[in-house]
This record gives sequence, structure tokens and C-alpha cells, in this order.
Amino acid sequence: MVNIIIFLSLMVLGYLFGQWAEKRHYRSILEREEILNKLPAIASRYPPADRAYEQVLVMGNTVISVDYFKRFLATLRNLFGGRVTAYESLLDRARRESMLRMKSEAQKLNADMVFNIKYETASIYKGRGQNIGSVEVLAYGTALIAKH
Amino acid sequence: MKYENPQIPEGINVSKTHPLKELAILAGSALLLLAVFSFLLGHSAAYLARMIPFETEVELSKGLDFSNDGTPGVHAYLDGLTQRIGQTMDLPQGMKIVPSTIRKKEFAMPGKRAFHEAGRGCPGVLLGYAKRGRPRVKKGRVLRMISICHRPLFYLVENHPDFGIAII
Repeated sequence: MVNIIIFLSLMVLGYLFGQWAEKRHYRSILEREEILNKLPAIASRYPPADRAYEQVLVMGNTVISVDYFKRFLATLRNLFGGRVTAYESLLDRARRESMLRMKSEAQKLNADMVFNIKYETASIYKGRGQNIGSVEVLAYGTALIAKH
Repeated sequence: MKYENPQIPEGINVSKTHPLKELAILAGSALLLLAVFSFLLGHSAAYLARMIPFETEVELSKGLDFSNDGTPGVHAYLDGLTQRIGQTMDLPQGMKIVPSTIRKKEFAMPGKRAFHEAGRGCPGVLLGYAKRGRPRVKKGRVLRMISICHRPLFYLVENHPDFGIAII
């Protein structure tokens, strides 16, 4: 009985705090994306040849942890298969946050754009029973700063 | 060349299904599967119990105490019952008859007490008893007491008016 109460409490807390944190994070992401949208981030490997640029490596790194509710939901999903929607928003947030951090760094350098964008992901903590605990997403690229 | 990042619509990489709805569907499905499995196991337990080899039953029942705390009258009755069964049954070598009694009220109680009273935690398939002995116990209550057998050697032998239900 005690275990059930602990489990239900963790589920409720996980859901409430997880949803609150997610909504707050998405609001922040949308605001910053609008501001940084002026700085193009391109996946192309070939920089424009119209002028000379100074090239600087920029990167943004994010580590996001999954809450208890989503972890349980993902475990249930593993029984039946299908889209693990519980983790989709987690990874989406991590990707976008990393990109924003990378762009912020590029903006500080007065870059005109960022080229050759790439992502790296890693699960840095497996948690109990090899469940995903925290996810790291690294976004990196080459900031092009026009030479005057 | 002009480079720009268009504003991408929200929700492309994220499912729009509400997490609570997904939880209800998944947990409901899991519970349904569990209920079906339990129902099938409960109904096939009596059949499956008979397929467990006697050696396995003996191995599983090691360490269990089959002593009875009854009165001398109960002991005398059980001894007589053991003799009668031993004479009529063709038991495999090494199989002992260990009689025990439970009162009707205890038999009808859900949970483990009936098993406990029946010989210090020796579980059996009570549905099997009910079918064989036809005790006056509501089927619904007996069904709740169905358990996986550690020692499925129990059979309802008699429903004694004074001593209760005798099982071995």
C-alpha cells in the first residue's frame, strides 16, 4: 500500500512539475527563436564565396532530464510498441535549446550566419533498469564573421 | 546568395496526443491484458496443477509444516480418514497423505488464511476442491482464493458436519 502511494505521488508530482517545466521552457524557446531567427543557421557544408569570412566554431549544449510520469509512460509504451511520444517533446526541447545556445554564442561574435550545423546526442544517465534518465544534445557549427 | 531560416510551424516533431489520454489507453490496455491472463490462469490452474510432476511438488513443499492443532477428536478423525484414503487410492511411491481440516467460514474467507489453516501455508487450487467436493461455498468467494500451487496435492475429501472440510 505504501509503495502504491509513493508511486502515485511520484506520478502526480512528475506530471504536474513536468508539464509546468515543459510549458515554461517552450515559452522561452519561442521567444528566443523569434529574436535569433535573424541569424541564419544553415546545414550546408559550403560557405558562400562572395566575400572573405572569419570562421569560428560555435556550439550549444543542453542536458534535459525526463520526469517520472514520462518515464512510466515510455515504459508502458515499450510493452506495446509505437511512437514514444513521451520522449518526443523532451528531445525537441533539447535540440531547440542547443541550437539557441549555439546561435547566442554566434551572435556574441557578431557572426553573419552559422554554417555546417550538426547535432550530437548522448544519453548521459541510464537510470534504473537502463531507462533513459537524462539526454544531452550538442549542436555545433561554423560561425562566419565577415572580414571588414 | 541570401540565407534565411523560415519560421517552422509548431508541433511538427511533437505528438499532439495529451499525455493523460495516452496513459489511460496504455494503462487500461495493460490492465485488461493482466485481467485476461489472470482469468485464464485461474480457470486453467486446476488443469495445470495436475501436470506438475510429483518430484517437483515434493521439492517445493520442503520446509512446510503440516502439523494440525486440532483436538484429539479431530486427530482421530483425520487418522481414520488417512487410512481409508490410503486403502482406496493407488498412490505413487513416496507420496504421503497429509490430512488437514478447515472450517467452512475459513474456507470461504478470501486471502491466505484458508491455506494457512489447511497446513501452514500449503496452497492448493480451491476451485478444484469446490468442484470435486461441492462444499457449500459461494463460487465467487472460492475463485478469489485461487492461487498458483506450491503443493497441488490437495483434494477435498469430506465435508464433516463437526470438523469441517477435510482436505489432503
